[in-house]
This record gives sequence, structure tokens and C-alpha cells, in this order.
Amino acid sequence: MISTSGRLARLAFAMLLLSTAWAQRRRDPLNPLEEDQLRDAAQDPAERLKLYIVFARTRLTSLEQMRADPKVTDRAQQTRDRLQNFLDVYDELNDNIDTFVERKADLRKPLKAVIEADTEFQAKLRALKSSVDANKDESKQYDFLLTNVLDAVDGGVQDHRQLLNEQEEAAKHKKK
Amino acid sequence: MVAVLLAASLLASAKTETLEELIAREEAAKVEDRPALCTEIAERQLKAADDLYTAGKVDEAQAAVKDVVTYSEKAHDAAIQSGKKLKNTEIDFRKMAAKLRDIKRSLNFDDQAPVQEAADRLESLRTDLLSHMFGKGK
Repeated sequence: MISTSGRLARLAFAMLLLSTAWAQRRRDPLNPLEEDQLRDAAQDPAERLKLYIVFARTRLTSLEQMRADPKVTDRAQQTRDRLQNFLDVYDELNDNIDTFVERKADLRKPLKAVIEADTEFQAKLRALKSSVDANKDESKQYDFLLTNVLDAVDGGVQDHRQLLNEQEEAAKHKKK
Repeated sequence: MVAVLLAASLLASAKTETLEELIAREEAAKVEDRPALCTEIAERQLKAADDLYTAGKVDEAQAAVKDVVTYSEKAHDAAIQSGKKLKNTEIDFRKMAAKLRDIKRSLNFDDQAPVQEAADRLESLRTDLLSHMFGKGK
């Protein structure tokens, strides 16, 4: 005979397993509030890209705060998770830029903000890379990911600058 | 130099091929060439799915999303079997998963599940590729 408290404990454990399984299965870097904000800005490239910059910046800030917190025990795992989260958001930012280019949107103004953010992200990620190089044991768990993130941002800066040049050239020809 | 020119011409021909021609080429290709070809097919079907959802053709879009998963699985298997293009394939999966999540957000709640499942499947294939790259999946 299982007591009521025993049943409750089993139920709680089952719910925990279910929620963990659900979280593992459904990996989305954005929370519902952020998704709503994006939906509201669906037709506005400038607003949508601005939101992605904010979301990406939030992820890097959260990473920095976690690493500065002396109480954190699973630093390597948390660094890895937060880097992956940043990369997922950054990939979506790039995907949105591609979509707006296909729609022939004028991205000159938002691209300037994106390039500024790229430079900020690069500096923060390089600082992280330098700091973790001093602690090889810890960084083993996320070193490859960090290199990938840096590659993605380095590639992003180049692509965004090239796209801005192309759009500025096209705008000059349009005016003539 | 010859290899670079050959690769460039292969890439150029892949871009101008119809989907059917690309699929036929993939079926006849060597295992080491399959990751790139299968990924190209998956990317094309992902673009098609996006266009079909925009046009309101949900059933056809869902079929295209299924193709994205099928050809990503083939790319994954071929990359592991050949040991080639593991990193490129992993990066392509990451980008396709991002696109799928973005498409999902533009859909009605009822239509979101298959797209989220496809994104999750690609993430799982990607994780598996990473494991192989680091020797854990051997």
C-alpha cells in the first residue's frame, strides 16, 4: 500500500521527468514573450533585426554574469549552454537578413546597427576566448563551440559589411 | 587548381539542376559526395517549404518539411559513413534548424508541431555529428 505522500512524490518525479524530456525535445532559444515580440514585428525588417540584436546581446550578458558569479558550480556546462543559445539566436538573425534580402528590403539602416552589434559581440567573445585559454581543463567542454561561435560572428561581420556596401551602391544607382 | 575548377563547376551545375536531376545525381553518387548533395536537396526543400507556407499550401509545405528531414538524415548517414564533410554538414544543419524555427514562428499554432519536430530532429542529427567529430560516436 502506497501512502498519499508516496504517490505525490512519484507524481512529482514523473512530472519532472516529463518536463525535462519536453525541454530536451523542444529546443527553442527564444522564450514565448520574445516570440510574441517577433511576431508583432514580422513585417518590419528594422524592428525585427533590432529585436534579434537585443536577444543576442541578452544571451551574451547572461553568459558574462554567470561567469562572474563565484557561486556557480557547473561553469563549463552553463558556458556551453549559453554559448549555444547565443549562436542559435545569431543564426536566426542571419536567416532573417537573408529573408529580407530576398524580399528586396532596404536594410541599410538596420544593417548598420547589426554591424555595430557584431563588433561588440566579437570583442566580448574574444575576451572570453582569452580568459578561457588560461584554464584549459574547464574550457575543454566548450572550446570547439566557442571557436564555432567566433567563426560565425567573424563570417557574419564580413557578410553584413558586404551586404551594406551592395545596398548602398544599389541605392546610389537608383538615385541617378 | 584543377580540383578547385572541378569543384566550382560541380557547384555551379548543382545550382542550375532541377530538384529531380539533383536527386538522381545523389542516388548515383559516391558516399563521400552524398553529404553535400543531400544537404543541397534539403536546403532547396526548406526554401520550397517556406514559399509554400507563405502561399497557404500547408499540406505541400509539410511534405517539403518531411523531405528536409529525410535528406538531412541521408546527409548525416553519408557523412558518418565516409568520415567526410562532418563539420560542413553540422553547420548546415544548424542553419537549417534556425530557419525551421523561424518558419514555425510565422505559422498558426496548429501547424507548428511538424516544423518544430523537424527542427528538433535536425538538432539531434547535429549533436550526433558532433559526437562523431569528437570520437564518442564511433
